[in-house]
Amino acid sequence: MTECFDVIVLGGGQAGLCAAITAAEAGCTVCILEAAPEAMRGGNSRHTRNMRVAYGGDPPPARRRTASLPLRLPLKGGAMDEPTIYSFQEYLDDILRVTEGGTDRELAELMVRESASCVPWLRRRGVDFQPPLSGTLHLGHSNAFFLGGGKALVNALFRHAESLGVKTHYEVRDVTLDIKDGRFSGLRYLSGTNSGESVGEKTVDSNNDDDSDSSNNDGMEMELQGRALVAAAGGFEANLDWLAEAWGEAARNFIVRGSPYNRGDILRQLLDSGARATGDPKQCHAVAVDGRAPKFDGGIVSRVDCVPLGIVVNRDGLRFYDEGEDFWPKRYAVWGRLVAGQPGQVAFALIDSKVEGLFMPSVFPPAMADTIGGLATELGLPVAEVERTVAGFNAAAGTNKAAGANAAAGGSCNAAGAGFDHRRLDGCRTDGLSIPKSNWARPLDSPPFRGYMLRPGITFTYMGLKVDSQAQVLWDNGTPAVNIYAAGEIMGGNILGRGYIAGMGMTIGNVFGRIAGREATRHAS
Amino acid sequence: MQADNLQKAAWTMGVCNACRYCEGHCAVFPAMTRRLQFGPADIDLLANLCHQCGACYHHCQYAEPHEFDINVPQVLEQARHLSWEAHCRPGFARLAFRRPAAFGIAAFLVFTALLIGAVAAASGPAALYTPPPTAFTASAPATLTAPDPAALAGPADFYAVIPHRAMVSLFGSLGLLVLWAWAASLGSFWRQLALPAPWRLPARTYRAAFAAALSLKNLGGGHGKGCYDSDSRPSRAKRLYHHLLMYGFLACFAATCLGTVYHYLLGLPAPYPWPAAPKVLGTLGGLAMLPGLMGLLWLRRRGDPRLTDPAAASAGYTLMGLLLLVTLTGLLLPILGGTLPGGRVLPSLLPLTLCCHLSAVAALFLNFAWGKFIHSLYRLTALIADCHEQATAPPLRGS
Repeated sequence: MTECFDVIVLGGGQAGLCAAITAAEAGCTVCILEAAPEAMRGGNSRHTRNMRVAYGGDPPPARRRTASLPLRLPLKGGAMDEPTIYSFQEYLDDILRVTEGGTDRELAELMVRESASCVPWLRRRGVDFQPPLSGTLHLGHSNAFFLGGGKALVNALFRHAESLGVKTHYEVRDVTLDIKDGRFSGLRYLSGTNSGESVGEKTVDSNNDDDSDSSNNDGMEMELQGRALVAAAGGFEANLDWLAEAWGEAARNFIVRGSPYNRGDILRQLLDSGARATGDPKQCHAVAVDGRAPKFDGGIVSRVDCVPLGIVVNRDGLRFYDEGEDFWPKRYAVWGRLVAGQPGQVAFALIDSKVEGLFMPSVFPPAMADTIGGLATELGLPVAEVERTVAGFNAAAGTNKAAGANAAAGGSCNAAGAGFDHRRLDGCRTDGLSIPKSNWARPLDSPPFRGYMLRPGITFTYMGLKVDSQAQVLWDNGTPAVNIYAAGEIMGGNILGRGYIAGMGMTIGNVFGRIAGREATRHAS
Repeated sequence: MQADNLQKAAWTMGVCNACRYCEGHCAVFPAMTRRLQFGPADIDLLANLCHQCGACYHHCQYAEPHEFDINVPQVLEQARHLSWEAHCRPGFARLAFRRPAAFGIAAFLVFTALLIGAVAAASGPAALYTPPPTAFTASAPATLTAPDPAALAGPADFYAVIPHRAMVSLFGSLGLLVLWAWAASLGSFWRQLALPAPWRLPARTYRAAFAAALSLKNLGGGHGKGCYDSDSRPSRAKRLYHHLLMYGFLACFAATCLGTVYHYLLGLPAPYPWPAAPKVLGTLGGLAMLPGLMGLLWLRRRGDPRLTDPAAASAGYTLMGLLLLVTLTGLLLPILGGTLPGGRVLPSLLPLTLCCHLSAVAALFLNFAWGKFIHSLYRLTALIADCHEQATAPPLRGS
């Protein structure tokens, strides 16, 4: 028997849920197909914690109706009570700056404008917010934090969707879309548990794309018909084969920070069907994470925040980049790519006891030793080379000459590093190194010394489906697909074609999820 | 066991401290962010701050089947019970924490046997089924012959079954024992938390801690929508039932205290007629405790087993069982002792019920010091420590 729905949503992250809820609230019958089992549902949304929303200020010139404005975040009992303004213009400027023009201006403005309604929309559907978390003060101005994080948001939206009669099928595999003449009519998929393998293994196995894959399929063949399709199935960052096309074999050493189910199967099918792509196919957002993090789904705790407070060497014991260039939140994405470029895609952050307590603790205990040589041994690094690197760095960080250079540049740093201040760009810099450290440079001289292995941890991919302001997928010839819409990371590249802005992925998902749901409804009814 | 739990709790808090998404749910996570390392004292504090609301489990991106298998409510519940065991005085009483149900049942049976034996020995076996005289004839010597039916009109005189002096000496000595155990074990906890002497803490710290304890705001989930007992849907049921139980219990306690005042200061011995304050308070308290207890038992039965620890669940059932027994027998007593219809004299259940009631109360007294009941005092102490930290804390680590 073939079930028929007005709207079929692929992906149970925030974008898919927003689309499903919007369509169901308008009276459509809706089915969500989610690749993960119920406990791991929600795609990368389950790893998020906030969304970037404009509030207050003047909207950019509206092409269509404006959202309800001005809006103050109605957060209870926290720092957000003061109506600090994150204006539409400021938001738009941030996007234009980080993407260096890699954005669709019209869609970016649309998203910024609609972002003002995200928080009230979610609150009305059971999502709770809270004041900014500790350690995130730099985001308090622009981002609204979900109480309990992204999984709480996903749970609340699923509850709401269920109350509207939305059906959800979990552990959906091998989706085949029926698309004829640019029109979606239905799909087939396999349903049921994977034969006892762990998620990570399964993903790695199926990465090998061998024929034995089909022998594992003990799921049921299912078929659905739908009047409209919303593709909200995320990016392809968990598909190491695909990443290897851009990165070569180095991609095998990447850690995937998010869901192992974001394999890009739907994206690939739509591209193969003739959908137009957007965003750089060769790029992904990667940050430096602890090398011991799980291969998939490590999320936020795999981060290592101590890089600006010490030095970073590669596996040959050599420094390779200015660790003190800027604040860590502005640099961790750079370091993902930097580590990916080192031999073996690995690097090691070394600190001494002076900086203990100055950074967010890491979940994995560091290697520790009372001497630099001992630490190098612990980490499996060439001892002599590391000792030479640290000695050179210490000499350059602790000299009067360095202090003089600092003073001349307006820094408050003296020879002993007494002007060190991790909360600002303190100008404590090295002198005479070919690879300088521009801030927070102090000799590594206080045992015990600690070391963290770093690897590139990939967060999301940029390439996705080109859409218009109705979230409608565009075919290569520029015509919109009749009844296929996209929302979330699968189309994030339209707006965030390059770079990174904290919390914007969720805004894209929310805004375009709701637009996709609205337009799918319009088509289906 | 304790070492395993401490290790697991420290690892769990390490993951949580690197994530911090749950910071808005309750007092545990802000207290966690004030720390970088989690030694026994830290885990004891966090464990006793945890109200077991389940929010952090249902919202955890690292809960099973994730390989980190983070389960804060469960690991902290274990740690909480181990902390009571570790601080308990005298040392051998930790057996009571290890086998809570056995200890509770044994205490009840032993007290029942002792009381029944004492009554039978003092007044003869017939006293166990003969209706005692009513309070208004109690000045006449208790007699084992069938009483004049007219004398049954009115509340029965329990002291005719077990003399007032015997009750006072039993519960007085048990009470003193409990007070000593509380002082000794909470003193140990207090010192471990490195709190200043109680009289050096400012009144506002106590105010804040008592406000949190009496409102159970930490069962609110941070959004005020409540706990996550069985699924990801918040519910205010647990907070409501606990309020009924806690305030009902406090009302009964107040009734007992008032009774003492009436007896010794005003010269008015029990039983009291309606609407005397001790009777009203005691009845209302009992009537509040019953639905509270039934509700909490129901929640525990249908609750998510992943959130709790089997040993801890047994301690919870024991306390609730004793409270239920005390409440039911307490509410039965005035009914049993009241006027019989038609003035017929039947074998009375009152003496045995009274023995059961008093034995349950005595077993509950032991539970006050060496059972789940002590969670209230540890939690209050933890809340005091938390409020003290908030007032004096260094800036947040790693911010």
